[in-house]
Amino acid sequence: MSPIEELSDTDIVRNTLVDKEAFGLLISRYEQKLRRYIRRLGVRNEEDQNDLLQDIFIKTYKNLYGFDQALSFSSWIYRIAHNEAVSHFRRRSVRPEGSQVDDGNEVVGQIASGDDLMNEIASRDDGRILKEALEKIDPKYRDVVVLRYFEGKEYDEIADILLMPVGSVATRLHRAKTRLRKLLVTKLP
Amino acid sequence: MNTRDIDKYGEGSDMTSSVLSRITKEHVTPTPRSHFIFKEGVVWSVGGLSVLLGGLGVAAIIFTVRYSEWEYFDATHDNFLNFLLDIMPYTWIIALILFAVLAYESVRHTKRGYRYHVPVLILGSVGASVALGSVIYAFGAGPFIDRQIGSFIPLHRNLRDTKLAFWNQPDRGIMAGVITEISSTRDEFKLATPSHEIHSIRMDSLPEKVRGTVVVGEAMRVFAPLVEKTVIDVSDDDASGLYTESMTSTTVSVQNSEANIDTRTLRATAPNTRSMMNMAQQRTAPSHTADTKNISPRKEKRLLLREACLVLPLHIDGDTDNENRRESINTCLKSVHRGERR
Repeated sequence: MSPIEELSDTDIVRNTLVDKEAFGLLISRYEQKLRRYIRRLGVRNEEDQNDLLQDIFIKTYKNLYGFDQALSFSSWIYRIAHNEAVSHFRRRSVRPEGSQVDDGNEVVGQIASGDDLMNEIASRDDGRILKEALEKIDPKYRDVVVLRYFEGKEYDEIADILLMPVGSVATRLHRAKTRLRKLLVTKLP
Repeated sequence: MNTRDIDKYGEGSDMTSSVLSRITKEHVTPTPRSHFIFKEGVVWSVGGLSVLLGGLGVAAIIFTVRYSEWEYFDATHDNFLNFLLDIMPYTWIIALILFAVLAYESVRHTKRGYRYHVPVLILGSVGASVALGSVIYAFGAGPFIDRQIGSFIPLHRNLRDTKLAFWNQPDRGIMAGVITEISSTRDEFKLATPSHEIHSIRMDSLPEKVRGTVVVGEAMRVFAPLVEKTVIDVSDDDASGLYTESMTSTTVSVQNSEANIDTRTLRATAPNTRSMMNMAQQRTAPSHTADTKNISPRKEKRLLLREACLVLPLHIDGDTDNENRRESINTCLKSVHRGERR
């Protein structure tokens, strides 16, 4: 591993404040992750994704002094990405274009955790069912599902990204799973 | 990225290049740290100020509740519920709720405020206001907040006015107001009430010691059953002026209460005041009297004469009656009520 790769995000933020070119490292680290994330939130058009990503990185750069180093940089930049995506939908007066859940089967397996119905869906190897269900649930529930099961975030990270107490994340996730389950029941033949 | 940067940070993607070139082209710079410190400072200040203002409300609530003269509720009210509804410091309770919500909103908008649940933040801000309010009250600021700060709040009725209303129920034989004159023989005095009536009250049956406490300009509670009704002439000209003049010799605290009186009410009730003054002047030769010149009687009105059972100072701020006084009041109230029923 090169010395640069060993640098933590916080170290790179400090360097960026001295030398803006160092910001390129953060972009490299987060471009793919954030692209995947905004796509899962419903930004399907590639041009839109590029524009949105640029806006996210520019906003991140502008607010570097506002970064609370007690938080993880990852949570902070995901928060910016989430807010920018929401603004994007609002600006264009469009609804999210459906979650891109290519990895749906794996995720259903994770969501299932002992749930017979979910296990059955996972075993069918059909991510389409979950995708359709995710499109139908309230965005506030979709957000936590995407962050927890698609992005693999911990509860405290989700709390930092969505600006809510950790307890509320757990509650919202539980409700999201209940709603998903109800929807999936109707999808099964 | 130039060659030197590539050596230093590695080769970036197209996104890296486009973001960095946009930063350069548009002269984007990080917002100064001072901006974020200022913003955080403002949010915390608003939160702190809300807790402080909520604390002022709490101090006023404690003061109001403590000195609402609970011990006489059965004499001043029909039932305990009416008494509670009457003494409830609505203004300060609403203020406390508003400032608690404002404090909650402020803290929630701090860097880490989102981590706390709504009930925790609300209870925390109310708790902080209660703690701070208790300290403020302990320093004796309750009366000042209730009266002085409260005077800037529309529809606020301070404890003094609430108590004046409690004690100003002539039908029950209890009155509160300001002594406007005393007869030269010191056997009768006049009491101007906030409801713009002046009562002539005989006090010849009172012990000399009590009569000595009757001083022009003092705010007093008077327990006196009705003994006589007399028909007299009255005028309604310049009525509000008379009442104001008659109050000019009163204590500052009572003068302040006049500022709260609705002039429409004053005009509607002042003829009665004038009649009391006219009649009283005809009946007695007062040694201390309010200015009653330019009175032109026009119509009939009844004058109610009362006989004092007890005359005591009106506690308008933080004083309360001692055990002996309370006993005297209760004894007197019983006789007053018996007298009124007769």
